[in-house]
Formats: sequence, structure tokens, C-alpha cells
Amino acid sequence: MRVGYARPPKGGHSLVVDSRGRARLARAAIVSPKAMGFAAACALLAIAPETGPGARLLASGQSAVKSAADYIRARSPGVRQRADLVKVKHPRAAVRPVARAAPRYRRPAPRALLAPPPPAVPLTFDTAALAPVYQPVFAGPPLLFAETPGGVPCCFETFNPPLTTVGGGFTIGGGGGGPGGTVPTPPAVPEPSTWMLMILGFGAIGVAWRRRRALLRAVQALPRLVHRRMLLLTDARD
Amino acid sequence: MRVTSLARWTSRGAAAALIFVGVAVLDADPAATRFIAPATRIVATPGQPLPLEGAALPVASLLAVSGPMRYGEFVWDDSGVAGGPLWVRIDREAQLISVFRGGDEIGTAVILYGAPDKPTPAGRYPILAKRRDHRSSLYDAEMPFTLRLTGDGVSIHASDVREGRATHGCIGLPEPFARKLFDQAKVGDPVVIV
Repeated sequence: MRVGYARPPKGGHSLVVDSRGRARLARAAIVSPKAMGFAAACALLAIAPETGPGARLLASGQSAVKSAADYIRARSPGVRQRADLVKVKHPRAAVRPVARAAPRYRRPAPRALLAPPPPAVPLTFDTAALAPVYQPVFAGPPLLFAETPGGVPCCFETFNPPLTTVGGGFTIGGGGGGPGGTVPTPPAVPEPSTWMLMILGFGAIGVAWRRRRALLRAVQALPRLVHRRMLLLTDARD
Repeated sequence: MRVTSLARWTSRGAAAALIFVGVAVLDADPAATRFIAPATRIVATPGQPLPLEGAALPVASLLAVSGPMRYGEFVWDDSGVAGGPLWVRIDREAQLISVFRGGDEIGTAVILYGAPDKPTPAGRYPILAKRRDHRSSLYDAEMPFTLRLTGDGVSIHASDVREGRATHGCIGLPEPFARKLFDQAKVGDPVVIV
């Protein structure tokens, strides 16, 4: 039902006519409804500025001052929903056999000190028991033992083997000395092969020395190169 | 007869032109199409400053980007920007990087950052080293345009920026943007990660 009504003077009476044409007399309010509504809104803001609808109004008023972070956030594609790790290693890379370094050489652990050896036990043999068993066996014809002829010279007078086979086919001799029983003295000047060996040895020592000095110089230059940025030492991890 | 053949040839020519233009558009560099030219700048005034927490310098102007950016997109506009020290702000939650020269923003892009179990640390880091053609020995992957931030390997480098991806702690940028940033940045320039 619509009510047409003429705006009355505040506090006075007015004639209200509804849509059917019926008229009645009504008392106008002291405060107009619009003013009442505005006052109620102000009261709401004053009473509940943090939780009520006033909070939203206040917030909208405050957002007029936007920070740079707000502007930046406005262009964001949004908060990340998933986080799939970027696959950086090819799956086949794991199948590749891993080359392992050779095991490092370790010095053998020092042996525990051994207990002092037991005292020596004097060995006694019953030579009488051993003697009849010992029988030298030779496949060839029976050996005839005889004294060496006195005229055979030998360089080692102290070790002159008394055994010489006669017709046995082999001789256990004391070594053939030089004729005349004199030891040959080495010549005063070394032979050419000896000279060559000595020169080669000194050359090898010299080469090793030079190589070692060059390596030392290179190692000593490393910090200087790093300092001059000619060499970069980095641990490339990422 | 003459009118119909004229109409036929006209339609054929129009179709050929359409195909030509379409091929030209499709054939263009995808990185070039990702570039958005900003319309204007958001300039700070004494009445309306642009406060920014953790900023190396007070912000004088920002790039006005219309709407949210998509993955792989970036904006770079340093026209009319005076010289100054370069610094970088990285917003992990918003997935954005902002490159500033002095107080003016000259570039912004969508980034990738570390996964929850390999997070990107927040803080302020100077750029420790630059390597244009870096290859990660740890992850066996190419990482061009690397700007190293920490000693244990957190860097800014080019990568394939797509939705739902996460890195092992680095900051991944679109490659053209990473190239521009690499050319501008110097060792020692500050990077703020929030």
C-alpha cells in the first residue's frame, strides 16, 4: 500500500492520503527519518568501529592511501597454489654408474709389540741314530771318491772340495779361478758403459730437481694469481 | 561474368593476406609477445607518497601495470629514468620481482621461488658474483644469467617460469628479463627478498 504524503512541518500534524484516497491525520516526527538513519549510522560507527559494518567503511576509507607494496601486489598472478619442483636432472642421469675414487692409501697400523721370544732351547741330535739311515743315492754308476791330485791349483785354498768324481760325468768343483791364481784388478779408468750409466743417473737427478722447482714455483704463485683475479677459485654449487 | 570473377579474386586475395598476417603473428618471437608496454607510471607526490617496507631507497615511481600479470610476463621500461644505484625487491608471496634504479621502478616480472622444503630465505643480500653462462654442478642444469646472492648457492637466474613450478631455493626469471637484469646489475647491488 503506497502512502502519498506531504512533508509536514516538524512537530506538527499533517494530512496523510493513501493510494485509495482515504485521508487521515498523522503526527509528524520531531526528527525526520533520514536524520534518524544518519544518526544511527554514526552511532554504529562510533560503537563498533572494529567489528561491525563500520569496520568495512573505515577500511575502505583507509585504503585511499596505498603503499607501493599494494600497487605491486595488485599485479601479482596470485598466491602459488602448487609447488612442483623444477625437474633439473634427467631421469636417465641417475642410471649412469658413479665413478668412485680409488681408496686412499693408509699407512699400516703399527704392530703391537710382540712378547719377548721364549728362551732358546738347545737342540740335540742323536747323530748315532741318524747316521745309519743316511745313504746317498746316485742313479749313475758307483762313485769312486779319491783325493784330488795335488797339482790342481785352486784359488780358494781354504775351501778345496775333496770330492771329485772319476768318470762320473760331472764335477763338483770349487770354481775356476784365473790362471796363475791372481784376482784381476779393475782398471783405473771406468769403462764407457759405466760412464754412460753415471751420466744418465746424474741427468735423471737434474731433471727431477728442475721439475720439482717448477712445480714449487707454480704452487707459490697460486695465491698471487687469485689475488689478481687471474685465477678464480669457486665452489660451483647451485 | 566479369563482376563475379573480380569478387572471387578479391576474396582469394583477402584470404591470402589473412594467412600471411596470421603466420607473421604466430611466427613472432614468443618472448617479444610476452612483453607488456606500460601505459604510465604511478608517481609519488608529497601528498601521496609510496611507502615501501625494506626499500633501499624511497620509491619515487612505480610501473603502472594494468591488471595481474601472467606467468612468464615481464615489463621493462627505463625510458626517462635518471641514473642511480640499482636495487631489486623480490616479493615471494606475490611472486614478483621489481627492479629499481634509484627510486624509480624500471622492470617487473613474475618469478619462481623455492619450494616449501627448499625455501628461498628472506633478507637483504648483495650480489656476490655474476656468471652469464652458468652450469649448476649440483643440479646438473643450465642456469644462464646467474646473479649469486648467498654463499650456499641461492641465486637469481633465468628459468622457465610456469604456473605451479617451484625452484630449489633460487629465484627464477623469464630469460629476456634475466638478460636485461644481468646487463644492468653489478656485483654488490642489494637484493631485498620479502
